[in-house]
Amino acid sequence: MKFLKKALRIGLVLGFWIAVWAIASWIVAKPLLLPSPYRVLLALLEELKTPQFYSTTLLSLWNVMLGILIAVLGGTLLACMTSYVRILRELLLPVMSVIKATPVASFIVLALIWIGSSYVPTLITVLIVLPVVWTNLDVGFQRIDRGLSELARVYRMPLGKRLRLLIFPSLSPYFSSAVRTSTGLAWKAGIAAEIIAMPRGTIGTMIGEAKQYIETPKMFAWTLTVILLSILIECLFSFVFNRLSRQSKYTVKEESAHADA
Amino acid sequence: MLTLDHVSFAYGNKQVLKDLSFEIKQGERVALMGESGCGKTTVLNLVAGLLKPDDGVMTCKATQISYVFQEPRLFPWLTVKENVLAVLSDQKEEKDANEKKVTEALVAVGLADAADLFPAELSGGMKTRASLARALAHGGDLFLLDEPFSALDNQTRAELSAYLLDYFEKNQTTVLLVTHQKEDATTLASKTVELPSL
Repeated sequence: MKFLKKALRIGLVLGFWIAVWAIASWIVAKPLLLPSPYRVLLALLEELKTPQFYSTTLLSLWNVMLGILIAVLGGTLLACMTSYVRILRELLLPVMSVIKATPVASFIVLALIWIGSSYVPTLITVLIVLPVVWTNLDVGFQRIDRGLSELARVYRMPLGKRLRLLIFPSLSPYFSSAVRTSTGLAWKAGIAAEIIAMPRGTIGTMIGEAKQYIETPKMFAWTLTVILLSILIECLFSFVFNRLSRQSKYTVKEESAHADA
Repeated sequence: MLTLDHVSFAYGNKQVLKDLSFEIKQGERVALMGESGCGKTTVLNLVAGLLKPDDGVMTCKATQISYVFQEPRLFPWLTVKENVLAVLSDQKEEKDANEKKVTEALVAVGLADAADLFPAELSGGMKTRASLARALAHGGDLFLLDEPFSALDNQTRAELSAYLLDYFEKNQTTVLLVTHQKEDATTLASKTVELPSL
């Protein structure tokens, strides 16, 4: 019943915005500028019929997911290092600020010159996601309860136990928040990189080509595919993190932690 | 067991301990008393190895220390039982012995029925008792107790004092107790060290 209510609510909200889109496209009355939801759906169905759709989607999925994976591993490793070596943190802070402030397009153009079009989407995804993961985990490391760390020292807990009982549970909310937040950003940056770099057989290239030939419904259809993929991956991460936190005895029981505070 | 020889310590510019000297023999129970902020907890932290003296020499021959901190310091994501188990060895062959130690310690502090509760589900007094149970299960030749009864009602305080006294005498445990209560000092300690305020 609760699930049905939630599904109905989401359906109503979606329906409302699709209706707004349909009315807007009817008022504009120029499908090249703003195609109707029906035209976009038809264009998407056309694409779905071709085997190229699936290979294109898979390649973009690979580019973005590989970028997320490298960024998560790199960001975690860097956060571990910077939490213990202060000077490294001081050194990295301006670099991360520069990465965050630099326009994605500048990075894309530079990367295109340096490494060629195929690897640009993955590299750009790494550049966008890594600072988010590092910043979150860096804060997480700083917020590890000092009292509990002292307790672990006095009672001489071995490193493995400290990791299992203190460090991983303390960092898990920061880690899951970083991954969830950066998924959407990763898709935005990765596809933008594909549109500019035009590597063969990717969603970004398809959007770029649709733009060149002024096939607006097709452009909308591919954009819709990206949105759906991004939501799907975010839901998948949320599902995995929720499942892990429910299964693990050593994850913060959020209500308990708040009540204790 | 423990010697402090002209030990000094400061937090930045604030001098907390200056030329502090005292000795505790094996099996002796000493109460540290003094005004708030005179450095009682600092002494315990120095003995536990959490701080290092700025000056002077501190010698501690204890092989295993149990520390009951002023705050309960329980892992919020672990149950009471898991919190007590956390300070014990993970060796498989010691599993049964550890389970027994935990059960005994929880019974001793009156938390046998709360073993599966999380810290957020406990009252302040229960949390204090859980941290006492953790120290009891861990054991050791030196116990550092920082106002261990501050959150407890009179009856529980009396019961736990009697239990701890019995435990310390049986095991010949050396104890360094920080307290504001003269009653706790006279019940549990055999000697009192008064810290001066600087």
